Amino acid sequence: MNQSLLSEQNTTESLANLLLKVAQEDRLAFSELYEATHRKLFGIVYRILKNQAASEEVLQEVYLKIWEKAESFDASVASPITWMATIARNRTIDEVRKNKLPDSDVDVDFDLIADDSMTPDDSFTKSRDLLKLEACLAELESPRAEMIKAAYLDGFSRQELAERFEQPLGTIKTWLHRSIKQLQGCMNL
Amino acid sequence: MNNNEEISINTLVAEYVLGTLDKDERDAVEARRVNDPVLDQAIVNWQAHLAGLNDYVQDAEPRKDLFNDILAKLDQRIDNKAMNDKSLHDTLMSTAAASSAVVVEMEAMRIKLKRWRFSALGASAIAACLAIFMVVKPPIAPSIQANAPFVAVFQADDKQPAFIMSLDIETRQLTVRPVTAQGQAAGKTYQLWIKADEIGPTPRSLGLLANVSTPIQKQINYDPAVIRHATFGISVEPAGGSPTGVPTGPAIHGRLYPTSL
Repeated sequence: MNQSLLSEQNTTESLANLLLKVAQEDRLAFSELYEATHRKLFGIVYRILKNQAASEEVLQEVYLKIWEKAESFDASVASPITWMATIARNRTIDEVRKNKLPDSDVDVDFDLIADDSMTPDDSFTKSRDLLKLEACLAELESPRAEMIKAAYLDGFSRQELAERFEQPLGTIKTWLHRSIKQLQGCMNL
Repeated sequence: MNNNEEISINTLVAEYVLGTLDKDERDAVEARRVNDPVLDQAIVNWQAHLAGLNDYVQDAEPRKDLFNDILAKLDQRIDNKAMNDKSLHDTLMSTAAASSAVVVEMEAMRIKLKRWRFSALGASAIAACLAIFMVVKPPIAPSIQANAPFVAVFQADDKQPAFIMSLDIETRQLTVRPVTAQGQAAGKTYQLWIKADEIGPTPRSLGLLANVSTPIQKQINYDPAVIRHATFGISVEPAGGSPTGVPTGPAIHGRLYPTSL
């Protein structure tokens, strides 16, 4: 699959069409939807869980949920890939907050993660959403933008953020709340 | 609601979407969301705000056969649902709500047919080209559909149907005419089946369709009302027919529908 297609308008439309068919229990459409999106969704899940088997387990549930909820997809509220990514993140965060997962496959190298998170996947044209968000994140005092990204992309809890950024928990809470308030003001402009 | 409370709700929602809330806090937000459209809208807004970050995530590859596992779990859920529907069916029948029960039954058939249509793509070539097309004279019923024929279409894909089956429901004479169906390989044959609750829990054989080069006529000795609502099927069986008395090979099933409203 050519991954860059995901950012193109016609693909958004075809994904929306596929979701429409999935809502009518069309398994062929479901198969096509999986083929077109599973690498992206698995990337989201795996980045948080950092464990192949656990991520595969969660991905199954994510697609079953997509099958069940396809009927409620509303193209005027979210793009198909955003809608599916939200389902994937929600399920994954639930999982990671629910219990301690088996040891991750990789030793988490925080520096590596920080570097990685600075560069969007090159095969994707930066979405308008991301451009706006980046502009707003750039206004945050360092290293709060990195903290927001680490929370969203790596699923770090407040405690994990405290360890990652070597700050007391209370400071992390304050950073989070102030960053949220600032982002809210910036994004709604 | 005072200003501080609004701010704290917004912060709570943003942290929910970011994922930094602990389990209890997450559960509380999700429980509250169901009955709180304002909270729900705030969540949707924050999801839209932050969704761009997903562009940072690099694609990753799960194991190759994962989708098959997803389909297997889906089947399991549908089967569980069908079992629940079946008990609902029984309940409804006993409370004289027969028409609703028929809808449930038909829905279950529809799900099964869809499942078949999908799995047939990967199944044998025999199954993939097998399709029935039935045209049936109307039952003797005083309805506005009196002159409309009934039809059932069961196809694995967009190809021509393999068979046309017509049924004179008054004389109960069945005619199966091959269209694109090919003769079976040595040692295999087509077998025709009928299934209806009134007849029993398993399909009953209507005989073999041994020679598919000419139309085949069969007499069906069941009540027209049963035939009208029965499920028909054609399966691929060993020469001589199913050794077990029930379909053993790839099969498709279908029911009768009026051709006009």
